[in-house]
Amino acid sequence: MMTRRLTKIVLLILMWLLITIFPFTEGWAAREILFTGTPGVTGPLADISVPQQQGTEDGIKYANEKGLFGPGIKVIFKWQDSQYKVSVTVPAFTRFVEAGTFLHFTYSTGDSDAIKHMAAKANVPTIDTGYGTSPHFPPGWCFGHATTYHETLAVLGQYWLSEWKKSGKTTPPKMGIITWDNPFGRSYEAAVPYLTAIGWEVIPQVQYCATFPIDVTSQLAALNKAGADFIVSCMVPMPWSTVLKDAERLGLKSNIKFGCLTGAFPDQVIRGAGKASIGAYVVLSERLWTETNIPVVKEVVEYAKKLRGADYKAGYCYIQAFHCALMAARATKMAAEAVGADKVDGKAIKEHGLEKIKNWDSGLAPPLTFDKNEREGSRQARVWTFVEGADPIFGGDITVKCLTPEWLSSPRIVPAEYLHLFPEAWKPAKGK
Amino acid sequence: MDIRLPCGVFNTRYDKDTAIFRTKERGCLIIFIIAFFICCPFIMSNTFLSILDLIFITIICVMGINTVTGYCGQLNIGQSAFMAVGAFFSGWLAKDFSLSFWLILPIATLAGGMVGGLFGLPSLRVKGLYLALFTLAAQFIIMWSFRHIPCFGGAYGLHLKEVSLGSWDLSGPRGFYPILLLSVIIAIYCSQNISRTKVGRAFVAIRDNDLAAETLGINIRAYKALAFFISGCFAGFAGCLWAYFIQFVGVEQFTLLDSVWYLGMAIVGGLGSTLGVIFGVFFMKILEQITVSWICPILVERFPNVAGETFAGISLLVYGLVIIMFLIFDPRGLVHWWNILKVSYRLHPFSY
Repeated sequence: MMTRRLTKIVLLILMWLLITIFPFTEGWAAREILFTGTPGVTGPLADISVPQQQGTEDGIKYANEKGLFGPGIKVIFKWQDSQYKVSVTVPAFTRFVEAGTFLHFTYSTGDSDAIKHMAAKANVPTIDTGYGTSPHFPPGWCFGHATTYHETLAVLGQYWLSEWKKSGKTTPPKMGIITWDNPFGRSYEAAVPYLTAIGWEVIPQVQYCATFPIDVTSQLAALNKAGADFIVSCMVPMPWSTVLKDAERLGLKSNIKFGCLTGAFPDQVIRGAGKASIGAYVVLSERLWTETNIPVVKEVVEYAKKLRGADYKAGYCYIQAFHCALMAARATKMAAEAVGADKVDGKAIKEHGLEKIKNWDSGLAPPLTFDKNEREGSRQARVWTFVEGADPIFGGDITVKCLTPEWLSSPRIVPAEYLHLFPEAWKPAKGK
Repeated sequence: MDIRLPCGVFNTRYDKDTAIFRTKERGCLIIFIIAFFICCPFIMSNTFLSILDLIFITIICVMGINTVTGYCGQLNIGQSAFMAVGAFFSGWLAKDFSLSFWLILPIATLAGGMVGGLFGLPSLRVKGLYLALFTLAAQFIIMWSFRHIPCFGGAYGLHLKEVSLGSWDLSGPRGFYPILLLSVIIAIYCSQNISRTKVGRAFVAIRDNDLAAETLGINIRAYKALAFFISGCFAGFAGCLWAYFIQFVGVEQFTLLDSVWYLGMAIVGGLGSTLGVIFGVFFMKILEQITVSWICPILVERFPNVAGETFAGISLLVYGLVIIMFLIFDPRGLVHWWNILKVSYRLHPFSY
C-alpha cells in the first residue's frame, strides 16, 4: 500500500520535472536569424533601459523592412528583462545561445562584463548599448557603439579648457568629480592623466553619491571648498538631476560649471531637474531628437511615431539603441556579403562584419571604425548645453543647444595595461 | 515520539535519533535525488543547467544565513558582502599569485569566514536590530574596500580563467556543474551536521534564550562569533564558486538587495532548517525564471500594444508578494508544508 503510493508520488514528481524541463530545451525553431537582448527594464536603470529596448526592437524592425540585413536575411529579435542582475542575465544569455542567437545586445556595463567570457565561448558577438570602458578590455566579443565615458570626458575637458583660456584666465582650471562609486561611475578614471597633461587640475577628493541620491549637499560643499571651477559627473539622468537641483539651491551654479558625461540623456535631465538644468553641459556621442534637419534622425523619429503612436516621443536612449540595431544590420550585411547569406553566424558577423566596419556612418552617431583590437568604434562627441526655449519634440520651456556643431575628437585613451595593443593610443609623458 | 517518523519506527539509541538516514525510505529518496542531479547534465539543456548552477551557489550562500540567523538567531543582512569576500579573494589570488582553483577554494572559504567572524564580533555586545545594522554596515564597508583597494580590480573588476582538471575543461554551465553539485552536497552535509552536533544545539539554545543558554554554561560569545565565522565560510565558499562560474568579479554583483533576497529565501523556505533553505532557494529561483523567462515573454507577445516593461514588472511584484504571504500566513515556510505533507501521508487514511 505504502510502496504503491510512494511510486505514484515519484511518478508525479517525474511528470512535473518533464513538464518543467521541456520548455527550457525546445528553443525557437528559427528559420530566420535570431538576435537577442537583455535590457534591465525593471532594474535601477529602467528609466533608460525601457526606451533602449524599444529602440533596439524598432531598429531591427526598420532594418528588416528596408532589407538592411542583406538579401535573404530576416532578423527576429527576442529579449528578456535582466533586472540589472547578473544572476538573471546569465541564464537568459545561455537560453538565447541555445536558441541559436547570432548577436546579443547588452544594456549595462555590468551585464556586458558578466557575459563577456560566455559570449566568446559561444561565438556570439555582443553590442553594448552602454558606454562603459571595461567590457572592451581585453578586446574580445563585446563591441561598443559610440564613444565611451572616459573619452567623452576628454572631449568635455578640451572644450571647457578652450573656453577657460578664451576668457583670459591663466591659472589651471580645477575640476571636481561627483559620481557613482561603481564601474559605471568610475569609467571616467582612465581620462584623468590626459586631463592633467593638457592643463587641468583634477581635485583628488572624488565625491561619491548613492545610486539615487536625495541630497548631495555635502559633496557639493566639499568640492566648492576645494575650489572647483567645474564639476563633472558620470551618472544617469536622475542622480545628476539631484546634483543640479542641489547646486541651484546652494547658489553654486553662478561660479561653477556643471557637466555630465554621455549617460546623462538630456530629455530625462530636463524632466528630472527642470529649470535647474539650464546652463549645465552634457557631452553626447549620438545625435539628438532635436536634429530633425538630419534626414536619418527625422526618419527615426517618424518611424517611432508610426510604430508606437503619434504621442510617442523618441528621446536620446531610443535613438542610441536604434543606432545599435543599425550597426548590427550593417555588420550582418557585410558578413552575408563575405560568406553568403546561408552561412552567416555569430563568428562571421564578428570577423567579417563588426571587425571590418570602417568609417561607417549610420547618421545617428559619429562614424564607427573597428579592427582586431578596437572595440569602441568612435572617440568623437559633441558638447551641448541646456537653454530656455520650447523643445521641438518634447515641448515645455527647456531644450538643448549644441555648442560644437562638428564632432570633437578625443585621443585614444586606453588603460595602461592594454597600451601595447594600441600603438596609436595617447601615452603620458615619461616621468609623469 | 516524533510524528514525522513512519509508524513503527522508534529511536532506541541516541545516534539513531540524530542519524541523517533515519529510515530506509529516506535514504533511498536522498540517493534517488542525488542520482537525479548527477544525471542532469545528460538530460538537460545548458539553460536549465545554468539555472541549477546558480541555484546551487545560492543554496550554499543561504546555508550561511541559515546557520547564523536560523540556528543561532543573529540577524545578518550582509551575506552578499561576505560572498563578495570569497569572490574577490579568488580573483585576487588567481590574478596576482596564479594559484589554482583547487587551492583558492579553501583559502577563499576561510577568508569569507574570517571576515564574517570579524564583523560578527559586535554580536558579542549587541543583538536584534542593532546587530542587523552592524551587518548592514558590513555590506557597505566590505564593498567600499573592494572598490578602492587596487589589487581587487577597482572599477574594472577581475577576470578569472577557466577551471580545468588535467585536460578536462570545467568551465561553462555544463563543465562547472559537477563541481557545483559536489560543493552543494558538501555544504548541505555540513549544514545538516551542524544542527546535529553540540555546536548546533548551543546555537539553538542561544537563539531560543541567550540568558538561559549562558546559565547552562554555554559560552555565548564564542558561539555567536563561531556562527558568524561559519556563515562567512559558507558565503566565501559560494563567492569563490560564483567567481569561477561567471569568470568575472565586479562590485555590482553583490548588492544589499541580494543580501535581503537571500534572507527572504531562507524565510520562505523555513528558517532553521537545511531542507528549508533548499526549498526556499529552489522556490524563489524557479519563480524568478518562470516569471521572467516564460510568463513575461508570453504576455509581451500576446499583448503587443502593452509595453513589454509593464509585464516585466510583474516578476518583482510576484517575489515581493510571495515573501509577504509567507510572513503573514506561514512564517515557518515551505519546510513546514513539507512536514505536514509527510505527516498526512503517513497517517493516511486518518486525518489526525
